[in-house]
Amino acid sequence: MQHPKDEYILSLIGDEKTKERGLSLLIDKYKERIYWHIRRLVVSHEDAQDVMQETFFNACRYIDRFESESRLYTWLYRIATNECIRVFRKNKLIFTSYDSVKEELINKLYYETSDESDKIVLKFQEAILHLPKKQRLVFNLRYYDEMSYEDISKVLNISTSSSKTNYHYASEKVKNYMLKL
Amino acid sequence: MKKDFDFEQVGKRLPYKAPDSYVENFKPNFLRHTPHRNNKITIRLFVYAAASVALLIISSLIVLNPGKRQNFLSSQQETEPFANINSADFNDIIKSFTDEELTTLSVILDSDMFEN
Repeated sequence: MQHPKDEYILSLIGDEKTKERGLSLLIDKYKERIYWHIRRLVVSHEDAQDVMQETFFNACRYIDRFESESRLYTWLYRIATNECIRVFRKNKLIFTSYDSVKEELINKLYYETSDESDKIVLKFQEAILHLPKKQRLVFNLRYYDEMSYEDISKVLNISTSSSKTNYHYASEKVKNYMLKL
Repeated sequence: MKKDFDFEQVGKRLPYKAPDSYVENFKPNFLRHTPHRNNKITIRLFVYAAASVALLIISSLIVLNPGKRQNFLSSQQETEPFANINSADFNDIIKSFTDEELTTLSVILDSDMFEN
């Protein structure tokens, strides 16, 4: 399905009469990408559902604050990523440390997937879940979404060089983890 | 020779599955829930505003009402001096009374129904 360009969606949103249509097109265009981005971060579908609702609710609510210099998709990824981080923080309060959150995410990974799942794919996700938070975010955005380092830096509010360094360390760690198989 | 991991072995495959048609039906479900959420937020904001105003009124009544504070202080000032009187002080007070005043006092005490 061919999706309209962001400029067209934004022009519809800019006019009160066509705003609803513009928001509807925005959801249609990005719902799938955003869902999988969220799902890779929070692992369980249940959490992903909540984060999806919050993400698009906030996007619709604050669309008037969107600055046209930034790109619509990096802005949406930023909202979604911040919502995921909020979930991690909330869980950290329950599990007391980020390491416990990681363990919980790995448990969810095995709970959410069936026995028929490819072992190497599971191990690969486990390797990603073992990464420190920032490296995990950068790795997911680069590896799965093929985002440029510049866009990653905008989504995560870090420098471009930090994005590159984090991706480099993350891929090395993932590689080493996979070689331990 | 050092072994190397080939990322192509995994590619972009994921072990997760989304429930049937979740993504396809996301928009209608989302749009159905959004008006309720907007109402909830408006109600929540109204409750916060009302609670803040009530708190402001109560604190201003306590802090800024000088009449009440004055009454409270003066009633304290009225009772406090008698709290510290001991028997020596009482004898001094009695001695300072004139004969006439002592007679009046004894008449009052004699007619006190709680004393007799």
